[in-house]
Amino acid sequence: MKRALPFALWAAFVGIVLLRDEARLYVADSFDWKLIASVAVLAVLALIAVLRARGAAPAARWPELLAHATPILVLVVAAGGLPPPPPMAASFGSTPRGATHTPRPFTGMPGKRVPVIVDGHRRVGVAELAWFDRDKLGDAVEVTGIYRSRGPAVTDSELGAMPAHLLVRHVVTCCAADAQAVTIVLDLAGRTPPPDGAWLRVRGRIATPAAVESWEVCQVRVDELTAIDAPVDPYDWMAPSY
Amino acid sequence: MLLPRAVGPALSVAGLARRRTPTRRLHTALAILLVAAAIVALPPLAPAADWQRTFGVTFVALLLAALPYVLLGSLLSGVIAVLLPDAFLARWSRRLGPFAVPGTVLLAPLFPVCECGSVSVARALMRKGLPPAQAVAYLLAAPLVNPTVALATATALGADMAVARCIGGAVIATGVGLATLLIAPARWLRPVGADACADDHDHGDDHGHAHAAPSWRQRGRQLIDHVADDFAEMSLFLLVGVALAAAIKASALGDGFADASAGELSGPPTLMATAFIMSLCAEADAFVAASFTAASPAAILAFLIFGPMVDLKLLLMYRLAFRSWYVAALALVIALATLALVPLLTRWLA
Repeated sequence: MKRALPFALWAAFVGIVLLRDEARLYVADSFDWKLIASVAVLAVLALIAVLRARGAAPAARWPELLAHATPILVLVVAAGGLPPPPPMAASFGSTPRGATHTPRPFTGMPGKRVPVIVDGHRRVGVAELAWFDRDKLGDAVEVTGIYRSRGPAVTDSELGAMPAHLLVRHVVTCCAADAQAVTIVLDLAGRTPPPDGAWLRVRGRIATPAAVESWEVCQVRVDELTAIDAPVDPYDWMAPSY
Repeated sequence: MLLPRAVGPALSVAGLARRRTPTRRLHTALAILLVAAAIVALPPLAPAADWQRTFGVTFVALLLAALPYVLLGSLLSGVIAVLLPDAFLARWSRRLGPFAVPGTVLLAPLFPVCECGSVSVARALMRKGLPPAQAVAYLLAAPLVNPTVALATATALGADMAVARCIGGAVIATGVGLATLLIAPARWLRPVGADACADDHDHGDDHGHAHAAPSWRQRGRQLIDHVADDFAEMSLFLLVGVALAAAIKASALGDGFADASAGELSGPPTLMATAFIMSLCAEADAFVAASFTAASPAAILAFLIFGPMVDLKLLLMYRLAFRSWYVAALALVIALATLALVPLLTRWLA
């Protein structure tokens, strides 16, 4: 029985993630079948280890078994049910001005969600807006993210104008380990700012980009602002199913 | 079955596991420390803080992303151990002569696994008689000279970048493989296990006697034993490496790379450091690289070439096969080679 435990523990770790339907909180959709196959192989290895009276591989010692239990411990105690990592260095992922090389267009998006039209607004992710196309100026969009206030707008001779209202979302390309906070600018058009850190559904139109430091950042002029609960999937996904 | 005596004192898979190498003991100790730290530092004993969330999410995500490939590597290494004829690789290497190392790099796509699985496969190939320098060349080339990785890179960054990445990886893997030929294997290689015998007995005495060909039933048992033991060992190393990567990402060290990545000179080393810490899979890192829109093509290429060969979790996994000084030298040489090669490849890209 002890011989089977390492495989049973790893199978349980992945199994818990799949049963709680949390895989998509950590890894891209393309990993679903790989995780299911992994659980199946690990379960078979555990079963064979139980059934076989003796084998070449000796039973693991207790300290090693404890180590193999760590993923479940972290999953259940720490990571499970926790919100995503907090916005740390919110990056304005957009076109740098004055760069010495030609910026590359981002081609690998969006793969996770098919854009839909709601009340005349195209539902998009923050990532899609962050790498927006200038042809889209004036488009009506609906986007969801976390509101961050940068205080009153200021102008600095070196940094340029600093926008006051931001919408932030963690963007994932492959797994949650590569989550980066990506930001767009909101033009509230005179509305009262929501509380800092609130989840918002924003409907509005893509406006002229805001200048932030040496960057041009997508700006949305707000038509409608709705406070919402944190979504089940807190991330915005960029990677296509590869 | 006549056992290959490629390197040092051969140990069977069973013997290797029973003897608990010092490296394995060290990683077991590190893993226990990790468990203790997790119990003390994480909820419910401690209130949830931002760094704990980042650590927890990063740790679980990296494990989920790497696990299928570690398992695939173990399965493939089991198939090699059981089904590949013993003398085949040694004979093939002798025939290629001085072209054996570049030949291995070019043939790496025959075993197309990314970096988490390539350590297992390289060890299995060494056990089957592949000269160690060629195994190192395979280890470094497999994640880069790889059709799946090339396709993902081409999708995210274009065909030119995919080709440049492939060429860069092949050149460095060949160079490191050739340089490794100059060092006696006993100085840099940990003892490599030979394959378990059909009758399951321990080959720790390296007696190299002949056996009758095993039946398919016996081969099946060998395969399962090999896969089970390899996975139990690799997963331990993966665990510690991923924990270190998640801890660094959760700390302040993981921040502040974005600005430096935009510089022409600071860009490549900055993104190489980012790749080292993030420990991403080679099949996915091109999409992450594509999001660094401020970074120069040279920095992106450095990220793509260096990351699959050297990252935090890989260094720990390499220690399963190589001595510590060689792992450190490997990381340094690959870093310098990447920095030297990237400007040339970027000029070609332009």
